[in-house]
Amino acid sequence: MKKVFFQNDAELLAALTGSELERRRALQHFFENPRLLQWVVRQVRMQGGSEQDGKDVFEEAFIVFERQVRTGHFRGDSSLETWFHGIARWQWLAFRRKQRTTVDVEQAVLPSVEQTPEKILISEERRVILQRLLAQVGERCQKLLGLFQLNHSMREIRELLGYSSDQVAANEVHSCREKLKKVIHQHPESLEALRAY
Amino acid sequence: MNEKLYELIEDYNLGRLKPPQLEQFEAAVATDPALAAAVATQRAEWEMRELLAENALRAQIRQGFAEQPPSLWITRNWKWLLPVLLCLGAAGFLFYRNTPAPAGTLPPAVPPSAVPADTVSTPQVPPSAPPPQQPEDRDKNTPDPRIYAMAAYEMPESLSGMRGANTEDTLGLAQTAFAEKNYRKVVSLLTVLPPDERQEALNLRAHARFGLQRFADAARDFSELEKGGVYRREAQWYGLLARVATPSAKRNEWTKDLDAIRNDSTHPYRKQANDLWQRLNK
Repeated sequence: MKKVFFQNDAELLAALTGSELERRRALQHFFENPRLLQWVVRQVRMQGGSEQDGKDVFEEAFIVFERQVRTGHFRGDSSLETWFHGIARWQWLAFRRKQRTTVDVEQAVLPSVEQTPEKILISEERRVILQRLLAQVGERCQKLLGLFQLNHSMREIRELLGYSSDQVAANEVHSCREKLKKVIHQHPESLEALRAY
Repeated sequence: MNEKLYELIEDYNLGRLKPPQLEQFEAAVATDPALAAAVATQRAEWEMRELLAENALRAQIRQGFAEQPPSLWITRNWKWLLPVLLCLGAAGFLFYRNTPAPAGTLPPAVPPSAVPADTVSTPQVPPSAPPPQQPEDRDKNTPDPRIYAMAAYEMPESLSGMRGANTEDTLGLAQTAFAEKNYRKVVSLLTVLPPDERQEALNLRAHARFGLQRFADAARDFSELEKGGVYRREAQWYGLLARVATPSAKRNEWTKDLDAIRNDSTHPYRKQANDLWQRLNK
């Protein structure tokens, strides 16, 4: 893929919320921007983590970052890079907290991120229940709904999954969403358990 | 379910509703079990789709890592090598020139000749150490804000847990020096800030200067950080401490900064600011 440069945040943000091709380019920009990954790995290593821990934190931070951009939670109060740093610092503290629940980490002051990603994180307890339900949806629907959730267009879904037309792709998305709802309704005990978390 | 209600539920679950619509919706959820069930179902459905989206993203990220060519240290840092070497040489020269230790003895951590004019005339203490003794000629009934500021200093977690970096670029060397509490070396290494990691370097230098009791210099660095970025809120607190600890500082110059933190209910250092205020006003 050709090397891409984004002149400013507005261009990068537009790409991250755009088509699959634009999103891929924006993702590539993040990976090829040595500052971001190096910053995360450095912060993690400075505080006793390994390079792999740094990459894991980067991955988790990027997932939260992408979700916040996609769901309109990024308000543009800071640059995208600064904002990403804040999420990564938050993720690293969460990672450490999970690994060793010592008092100093539990009581630590969280980094100065204006809006922590906590609000749209899915807790571990919920994940376990949701994964159990997802297993009943089928691999094809899982792939399809994942792309749909990432705002891929019907044309992109058709091309990626080999459907004959955009309309067929749209019908498949509708059918899979219905299947997902059906699975949820068929397991009221899971829904009840989810309400507890 | 009609489309409008579905969108309203989605906005609620994603935290997009604002007061008073939020309060109205929450009241409706509390009294309408069918609506509560619809909210729980929609949330579960959204989260399931999010988990699937995560899987797709993870695959892309890992592919990105796998495709990354390994970069050599020298190709990344060549432009910093010369200034770093020059700075190191100059720092080494100054250090040995200013510390004429007798044979067989080690030089002190901070030789008196190296302490700049804005420092307090107390022995060097680590940043988290208890407050130094008040000078004898001071009125014992008047609290010295500088002492309280130094006592209130606690190193931020991101620096206190630092073990040093394995990289050998300027910032990496400075981080190693910081982990070894060699604050003078940190400051001399970061005389020129690397533009790629300016904020991290500035933050490190500011704390090192605080550790050396060069409070006016530390305050200047923290002021830079207060202008924006990930360290902004931290810098507001530590910058305040540095300003209070600066011997030439006047009380009215930093009182409003202290009040600003105390009055900000979301400020992560509000509690510390209140504690400091209470000690200063005993």
